[in-house]
Formats: sequence, structure tokens, C-alpha cells
Amino acid sequence: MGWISGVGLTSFGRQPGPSALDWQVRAARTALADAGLTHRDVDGVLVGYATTLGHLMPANLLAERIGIRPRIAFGTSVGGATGLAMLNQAEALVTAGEAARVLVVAGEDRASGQSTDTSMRTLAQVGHPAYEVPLGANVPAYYALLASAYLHRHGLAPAALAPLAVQMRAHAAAHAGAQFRVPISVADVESSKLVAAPLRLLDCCPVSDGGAAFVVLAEPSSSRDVRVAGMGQAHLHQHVTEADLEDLGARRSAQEALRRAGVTLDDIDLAGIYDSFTVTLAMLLEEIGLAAPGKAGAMAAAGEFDRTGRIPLNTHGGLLSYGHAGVAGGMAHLVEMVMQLRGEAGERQVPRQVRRALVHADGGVMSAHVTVVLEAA
Amino acid sequence: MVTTTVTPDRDWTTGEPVILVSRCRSCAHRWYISRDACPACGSPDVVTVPAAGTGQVVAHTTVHRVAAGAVDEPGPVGIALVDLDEGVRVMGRCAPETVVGSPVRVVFLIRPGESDQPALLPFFEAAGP
Ligand SMILES: [Zn+2]
Repeated sequence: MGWISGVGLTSFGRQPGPSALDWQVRAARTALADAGLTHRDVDGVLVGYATTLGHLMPANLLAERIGIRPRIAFGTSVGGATGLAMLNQAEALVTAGEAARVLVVAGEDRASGQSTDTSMRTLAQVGHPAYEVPLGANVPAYYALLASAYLHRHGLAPAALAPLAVQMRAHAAAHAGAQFRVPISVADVESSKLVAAPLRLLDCCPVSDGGAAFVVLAEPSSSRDVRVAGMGQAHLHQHVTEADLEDLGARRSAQEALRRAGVTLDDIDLAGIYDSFTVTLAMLLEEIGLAAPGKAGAMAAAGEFDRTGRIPLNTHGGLLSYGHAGVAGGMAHLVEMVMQLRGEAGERQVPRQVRRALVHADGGVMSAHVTVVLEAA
Repeated sequence: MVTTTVTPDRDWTTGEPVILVSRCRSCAHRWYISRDACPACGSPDVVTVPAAGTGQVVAHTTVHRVAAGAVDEPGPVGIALVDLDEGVRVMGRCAPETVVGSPVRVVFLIRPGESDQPALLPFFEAAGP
């Protein structure tokens, strides 16, 4: 068990100037200040990979820059699941007594820093170099294949996924840090250009510049701290060609987190679910069990994922509208759920009492899954 | 038309116009992406057999911006996941109008590759009912 004490999230968007390391520093300082700590208090530093940086030792790089001399430092790479995987490691370190105050950080200039082409090369690794990449597929295409199978299986038209994008945008409208805040409609999604059929531009998250960070403690330091009640993971494949579409790993991961937290899905008040594409969100919600099979889009259309709905979802706007600054993108969901559980989400605050949140991230093409159940103190 | 003798350790990724299916002689598990040992039981006793090249479309997309790393860039291309009759799943090119659930069979596109060796790509065409 661990406690999330401080959180930090920068604005996301095309914000040229700061480097990947600069974004990490900004987010880290915000999280430390929020926890009421200084850099000298930190004895563990975990940093997610940045595609625009490609550094061998990202945690050491950040620690030196800020002036931290931690007992334990390492970088982590499990794609979009990296942020939650680092939370799992931080929790394990503080539980084992290997560290007392662990700073977890990610950030990059993914939108503005791509001239290096490191970013594109790194992302291409999601495909198999011999059996997939030469065919001409890219990351949206791999998810489009998932969308094709999903829509066929449930007898749905592509428009069935659009309400998820509409809901994410509606949420982002209330967050000053979001990349896209102008409301959209299902018709807007349906008239946006095809990227990889059946996915259109507004079914896809953007790339962004930004950073996110949080501090994990062994014991709570104040009533604002949020408890890591249970975590789970599953890693069943790397390449989409080898994926079992009926058992991607999300269910296993979520069930383990719930079991360790000693709760069921009925006890979950709100959720932060990885949404790199509309189909990602639909498939994760359904495999986890927060939506009935084939119904995620219909639930979004019915307002069930709204702030006032049955299960408020990604109330910051998610990757689809808050933005996707790499590893920090998947950490933004966690930061938002912590804000909600503290009752500090301002105009985005869910109006009813919320006690427990489920956060889930996937990396690769539904390849790596990590889930956490968070509880208000 | 490519006519070369098929060797059991080479497939379309190394210039032979064939899809190879790997089979574990210890536990009978079958898979597609080449490995030197069985991912189910760990046995190194693996045989490869040429696939008939027929199967059913599981998923289909048309990519409008072809990724870096493709061997050619002919504009929008169809990509499919196909479950072969041998029981393994394969990714290949296909026509943009490909229908999920329909039967297909493989042919191989020949594209200029790096150095002198042409690159092959599996292309799944409609096989009829
Ligand atoms: Zn075996």
C-alpha cells in the first residue's frame, strides 16, 4: 500500500520551446510543492521514457537537474502504461521500505520536438519490424484493425464510437490546460478526415507537449493524500497480430487491482481510462466491465460518462482532448482522479460524493495493461 | 510470377513467396511470428510448414498515410488480419473494399527492396464463396 501525496500536471498542447526534460522539471516541481516537500526529501526517482529524448538514464538526468540524490533511480518503458507501471513500482518500493518518498515523472515535447525523428522511430517499434511494419501499417492502423473487428463483432457502424470523442471534448472544455476545448458533435467526428478506416481524425488523440508527476509515500502526510488501494497488471502480447481480441489483458489487470483493494466494480465511483483512440476507450471499458459489450458508445451518448452521469469518465478530457504528451498523457488520468477524490477539481468536480476511482492504462496495441484502484483518505 | 523452391526456414520476410506456420512437436501449439522455441511450452522442437494461404478476414483497415518503414508507398493501402485455415493469424495487404468475415487467399506482391533483393508482401485477395 502507498499514498499519492502530491500531483503535478502541466497544460498539454503544441507548446514549442521547452525540452522533454524541461517539461519533466515543471511537473516534478508542481508535484513536490503540492506534497509540501522539497527535492531534498526525495529518495526515489522514477522517470518514464520520452520519445523525443531517447536517453539511457532518464531518472538520473532529471535527478541531477533538480538536485536530487536518490537512493533508487530508474527509467521505465511500457508504452502508454508506463505511468501506472511506475506507480506500481513506487508503491512496491515504499511498502518494502526501500524508499520513503518516491517522485514519479514523465514529460516530453512530443508535438514540437519531432524534428529529431527519434519519436517516429520509437513509435514504429509498436509494429513487428519483419511481419508488420513493411506492410505500411502505423499505430492508428493497428488500432483501426481492432476497431474493425470490434464493430463487426457487435454489428455497429463507425459512428457508434463517436459519442466517446464528443464526451471527452465536453469534459476538456472545463479544463484550462486541455489541448482542445471547443465542443464537437457526432457529425463533426463523422465528417473529420479518415486516418485509418474506420478511425477518423477525431477518433484519434493528438500529440502534445507537456508533463505530469506525482509523489508516492509509505504513510499519508495529510487528509488530502489518496490511498493506492490495489493494483494489477497483465502483459499478454506485444504485437497486434498475436493479440487475443477476447482477452487483451484489461480484465485480468482490473480484476487483480479490485481483488487487492477488496472491492468490486460496484464500489467504483468514477474512472480514468486510457483513450488513445475512441476504440481503445470502448474496448477497455467493456473488457474491464464498466460498459456492457458493444455499448460503450451508446452509454456515452446517454450521458453515463458525464460529470453528472453514472460513472464519470476522464473528467479532464482524456488523451482525446486534454492531449497526449507520451507517458505523461497516461498519468494525466491519474492526476485528475486524485484531484476528484480530494474534492479539488474545481468546476470539473463531480457533484456527488466520490470515494473510489479506477484508473487503467494500456501500452502498445493493447499490449501492456496496468490498473489502480484509488481511495480517498 | 515468383517460382523458387520453398525452404522451411525462409518465408516472405526473407524472400520466399510463402507464409510459414510454426508448430511445436512437444505440445502441438501453432503460431505465426517466427521464434526458435515454442512460446507455450518452451520446447525448441519446432517445425515449420508452408500455409495453404487461405483463410478468413478478421479485421480490415485502409491506411491513408502509409507509415515510414513500408517497402513502398502506393497511397491508401488496405491492411487485414486474416485467420488462416491452419489456425494462426497473419497481417497482410488487401484491397480497400475487403469485407470482414469473407474468405481470402494469399498472393505475393513483388516490390523493389533494399539492395538487389526484391521485397515480397502477402496480399489477401477475395477467394469467393
Ligand atoms: Zn510447445
